Amino acid sequence: MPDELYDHDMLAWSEHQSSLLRRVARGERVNEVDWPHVVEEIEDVGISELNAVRSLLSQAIVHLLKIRGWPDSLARVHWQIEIGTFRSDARRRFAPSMRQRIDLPALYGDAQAQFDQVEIDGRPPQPWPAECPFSLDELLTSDRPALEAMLAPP
Amino acid sequence: MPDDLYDRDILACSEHQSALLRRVARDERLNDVDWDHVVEEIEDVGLSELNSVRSYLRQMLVHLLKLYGWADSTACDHRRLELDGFQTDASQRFVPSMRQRIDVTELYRRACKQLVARRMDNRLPRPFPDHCPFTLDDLLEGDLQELEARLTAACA
Repeated sequence: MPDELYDHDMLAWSEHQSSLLRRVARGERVNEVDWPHVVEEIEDVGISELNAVRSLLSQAIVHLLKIRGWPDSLARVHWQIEIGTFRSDARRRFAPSMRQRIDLPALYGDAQAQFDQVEIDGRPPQPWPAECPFSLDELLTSDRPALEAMLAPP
Repeated sequence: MPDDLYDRDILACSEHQSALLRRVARDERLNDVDWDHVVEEIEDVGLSELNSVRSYLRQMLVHLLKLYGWADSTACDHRRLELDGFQTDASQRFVPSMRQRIDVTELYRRACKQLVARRMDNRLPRPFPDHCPFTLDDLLEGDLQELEARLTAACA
């Protein structure tokens, strides 16, 4: 039964289902397609990309906050390089329909919360804005010094 | 065109296609399902699992060979911990149909190749056994100390 196979042997399930779907695509009537799981997997393709982009953006924010919070840290250059990687991965994987599904203020809030009671080099962070100071487009495409400046005190 | 959407916006594509498939599943006749990509993604579900199991097994072999090749390294304890983690991941994700698709000898060959010219603690490794002394089941379920000992025995 395909349904059971999905839980017990994902590889066998995926090989079996893709060969059935090839026949459906050719216009054959096939009864054993495991539609619920096929649909779930196709939905998952998009959702996992969306989650990946969210996670990259949130990592970028966390590292921007580190730079703002501990401007004199020796790790500064390392953080800057990481921000570059996170942002270029996010740009590459970003798709237009993700826009309305990414809640940047919420990501910013979660990133701030990660630093609750955290000290680096034995020091608490310098303060940063309570509200997210940049837009999604800015986070994706502005240059890094501009983003750093948006987090700095007025 | 769905085909184009797949490259431009994977999320929109996946939402659109899954909605269409729900209708196909209800037995509607539809023309605009992007079957090529649907089939490819369904194949991928299995292949990516297979690749991750292969990769855990290869990491296990790399760590076993490091433990053998640089037996007095200070990193040994750390490597044993990692080895244990890779074995857990490999055995958790292994499924029966992967058996005939995983070539342990080839994974072993690649692991040896990756390490043979490597210097760690400023030393090259002890020479590795020519033939892989492990079966797939050894890697998935074997006692790790016993697996380490087997590399030594294979060279004796």
